Amino acid sequence: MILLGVILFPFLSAIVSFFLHSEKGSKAWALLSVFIEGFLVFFSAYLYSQAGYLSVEIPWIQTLGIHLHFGVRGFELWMMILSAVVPAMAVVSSSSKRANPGSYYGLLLGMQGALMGLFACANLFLFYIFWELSILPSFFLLMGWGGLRKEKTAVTYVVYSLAGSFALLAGLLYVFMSGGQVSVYGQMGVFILFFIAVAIKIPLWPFHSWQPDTYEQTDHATTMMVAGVLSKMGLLGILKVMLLFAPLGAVFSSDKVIGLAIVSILYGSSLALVQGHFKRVIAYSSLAHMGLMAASLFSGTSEGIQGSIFQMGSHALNVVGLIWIGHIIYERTGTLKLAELGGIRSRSPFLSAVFLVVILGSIGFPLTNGFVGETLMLFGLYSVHPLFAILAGLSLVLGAWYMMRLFQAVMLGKGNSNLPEFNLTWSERIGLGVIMVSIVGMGIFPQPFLDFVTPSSFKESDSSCTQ
Amino acid sequence: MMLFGMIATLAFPLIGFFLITLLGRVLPRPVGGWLACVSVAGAFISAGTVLLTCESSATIGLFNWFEVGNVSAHFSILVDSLSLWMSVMITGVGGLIHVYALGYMKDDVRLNSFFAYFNLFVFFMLVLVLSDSFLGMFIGWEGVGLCSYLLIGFWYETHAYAIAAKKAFVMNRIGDLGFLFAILMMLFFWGTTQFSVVFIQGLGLGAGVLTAMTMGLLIGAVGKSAQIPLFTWLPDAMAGPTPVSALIHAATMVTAGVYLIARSHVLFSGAPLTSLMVVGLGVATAVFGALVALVQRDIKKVLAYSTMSQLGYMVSAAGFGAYSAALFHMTTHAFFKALLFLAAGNVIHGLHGEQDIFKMGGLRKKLPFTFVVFLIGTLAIVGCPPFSGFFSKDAILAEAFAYSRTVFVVLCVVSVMSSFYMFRLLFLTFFGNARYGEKHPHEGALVMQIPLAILAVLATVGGCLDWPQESILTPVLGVTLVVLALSGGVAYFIFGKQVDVLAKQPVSMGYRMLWNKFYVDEVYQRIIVGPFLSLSRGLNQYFEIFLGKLDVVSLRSVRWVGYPFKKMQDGNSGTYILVMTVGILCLLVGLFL
Repeated sequence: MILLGVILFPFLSAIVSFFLHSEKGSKAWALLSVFIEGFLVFFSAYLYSQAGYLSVEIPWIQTLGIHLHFGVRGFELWMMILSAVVPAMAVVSSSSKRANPGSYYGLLLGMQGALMGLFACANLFLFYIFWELSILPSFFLLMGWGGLRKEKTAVTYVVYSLAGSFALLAGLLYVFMSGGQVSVYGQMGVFILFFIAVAIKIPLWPFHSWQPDTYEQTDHATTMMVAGVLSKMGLLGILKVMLLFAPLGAVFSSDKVIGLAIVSILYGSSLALVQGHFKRVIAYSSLAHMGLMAASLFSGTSEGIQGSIFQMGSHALNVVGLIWIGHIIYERTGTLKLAELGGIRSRSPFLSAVFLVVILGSIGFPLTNGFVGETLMLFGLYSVHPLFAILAGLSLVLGAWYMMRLFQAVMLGKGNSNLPEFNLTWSERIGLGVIMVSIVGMGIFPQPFLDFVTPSSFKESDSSCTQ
Repeated sequence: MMLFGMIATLAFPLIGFFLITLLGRVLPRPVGGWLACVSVAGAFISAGTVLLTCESSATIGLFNWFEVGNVSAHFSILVDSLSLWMSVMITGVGGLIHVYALGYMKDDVRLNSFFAYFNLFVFFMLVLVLSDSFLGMFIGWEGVGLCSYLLIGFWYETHAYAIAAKKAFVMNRIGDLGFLFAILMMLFFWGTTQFSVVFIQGLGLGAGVLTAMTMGLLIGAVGKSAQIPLFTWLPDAMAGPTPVSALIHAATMVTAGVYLIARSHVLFSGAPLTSLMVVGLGVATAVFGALVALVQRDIKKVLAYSTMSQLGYMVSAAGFGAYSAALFHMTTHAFFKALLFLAAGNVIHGLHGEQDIFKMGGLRKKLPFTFVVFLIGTLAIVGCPPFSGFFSKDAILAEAFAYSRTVFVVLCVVSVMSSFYMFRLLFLTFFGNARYGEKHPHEGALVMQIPLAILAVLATVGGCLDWPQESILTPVLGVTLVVLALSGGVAYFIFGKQVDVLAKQPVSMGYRMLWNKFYVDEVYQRIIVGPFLSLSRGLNQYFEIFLGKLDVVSLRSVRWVGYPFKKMQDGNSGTYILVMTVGILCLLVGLFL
């Protein structure tokens, strides 16, 4: 039953939030809500570790045989933990004045609820509902709060999302109609449809062109949600739906998908090198990282898959850290253009230290969370073909290059003489400190997390997934 | 005892790092520095005690790092004579450089972070040599790369220094990728990278696989030890404060590649092709470094290229199987190169930052102490008996003679060149007319002189270290002396007396090639970096726009579909959401009813 609570609670508090108008009040409510939600999720994780499987099933539309059926295994709970932590960071890091803060937080919480539902659902009907439900708040968040080109960006985003949704819907309908027993050719078709849906969501090259603008134009809290959690929806779709309902498609096409994902890795890394905007660098670096995670999900090795799942958490943590740092800089200096930044290290050694640790995490430096995941993922790719590992491994070099370029442009050098003071607030210090410690902690003691997400359980396919 | 000693060796610098980092704001500046020195001294004593007391080698398991599927990684410490000797050398020479830095850096506002990085560096270097698996070694391997990034770019306000630091980090990462590839291969075949497994099972692999694996390791070694073709970061890395150059680029980090090859010699012995490449690259680097060092004007650059050249010596020695000779030379090199760098630091310090040797001269009288130690360092590096360099160089040359006459001859020529450029450096700096203008050179503080004195003693007697030596060619002794006298004489004739600062540089083709380091940086820039960045920019400008155009097309089509709805609605983009929702509902209803 706690699962229902986890899913419903954010929706309920979102509704309350829409009626709040004051800046402080709505933030306080959002904070309270994300912390209660966090508690609920961690409590479910505890229950899961005791019981091994959590589920709840309630008849819903009897005539159609549709049930409200939720059930979680390790990697799904891992995603739910992300969906609890990332919004918490998003709320804590919000300090600037926004128009209609109540609605903003409401949408944020609504998105959290939709994500919880998506990650916890145990049948395709709910999967589709929550997949769609997550698009709505993100669209309005893009539309209402952000940079100068936010409307155009939001429309691009929603068009891409709709295209993905229709592909997903078509695939799901096909699976529905064939009663779960999909023929070989059917599986190929379904695989392609699902692939389009997840490739847009992740995103993979060449379906990524909504992403850089979205990162650049959105409010930082929305960017955190998009980069940290929404992108993982696609990966979860691969694990939860694609590999389960079109396994033969995966068998036949995994080489091609890995190839495309490696193009994403190299393309994203190369373009991250020449970006002039902080958030665009992060966007392209995410393209590269997500490509590696997607590729290794198709490696068919437990090491690769487990590494990828572990990395989903690491990436969320690191990217949230980067965006938060960007936000802190933006709040103080009013710009995120690399040409206008520099010299911040002498203003705030602490911020610079955190930035460096987050960068190390995201370039897969040993003893940070990124290394464990990347090594396992590269191992998975190596098992498929050594060449895949070499090509994907190039991102280690390119990653170091563009991240150090970013660090240099923002932190090093003399900097502007009228650079403001960087007095970090306590919530910023604590939040960034937690991120820094987690990055190193997960890198030194990854085993508990790896055990938690162990993929042995996702092979027990859930027969009730189809009606 | 051993367990405690080894853990203490690792823990001291790490604790030092954390203490200085966390208390950096509170601690008065010199205290942070002393704390760092004490922690390295503690590590030195612990490692030394274990070296003296322990007879046998052992493995100390610490804890499991990760275990997934067939892959497992553990943290454990390998205690054997090689790792212990390396630890003692790192903490010993490193400790002396720490003490020297106390004096050299005393006016820097960020002294505490400097020493925090120094301690962290020593920690990672110890992890590198004490790990009993390649993955553990990789931690230290990348860790020293990070610390060198922080230290080279320590004066990050200067744009060029920050660029140099970035270059060092990225070039190193190319090597690291090779290393990681070898690690992936090991994991693939054995599921672990423990030395005990790898070295026993390694020879069971086919020659091709073993060649690929050792190639990966070689790429790693080439990156870290600044060999051709990944050396370009090392000269630029002289941007860091001089103690950094001494610590990183003489005594410790750059020797990691030699250590890696020596440590995995079992694998290399099964891959003759790779061994041949090791020799080739090593010899080529030795020649290259020596040639370029002949004409450089910057005191630290000369030493940097000389380091490259000496590393080439060691790498090639490791390549033709003279592991103990390579390690022996590594040890003596650590002594005299640290000595030379620190003495050069004294000169630079005394001349308020001047690094151009054509603007020095005659410093023998102003800086007598520095002159004496620099002279000792020079005599040691050129291999003058009875200084340490003679024995170690000799050990390598003896093995080279047995391996191949060609290699032997080339290495001898390199040796002659190195004595020439070192004497040139010595004479230009300390002899002849004073060309430094109005400056008043002065000796450094006592904390800077004591480490120099100790290193000078080590550089002198280091050759007697109880290190397994292969053989010493007695006839070489005479030849060496003659060659040294000759090259020294020529250098003195050219550079020892009056030198005109404004003297026109020779314009010959050969000189320009050497002066511009064979244009390697420029070639890399033109052939690799430039085109790559152009490609990225091109993709960013054109392909991304093209994809954006596709968006517009799809947007138009959606707008067209949504047109009837738009009439009914107020025309904002919420329409599309409406279209979507209605569409979904229709489909669902159509499906179920």
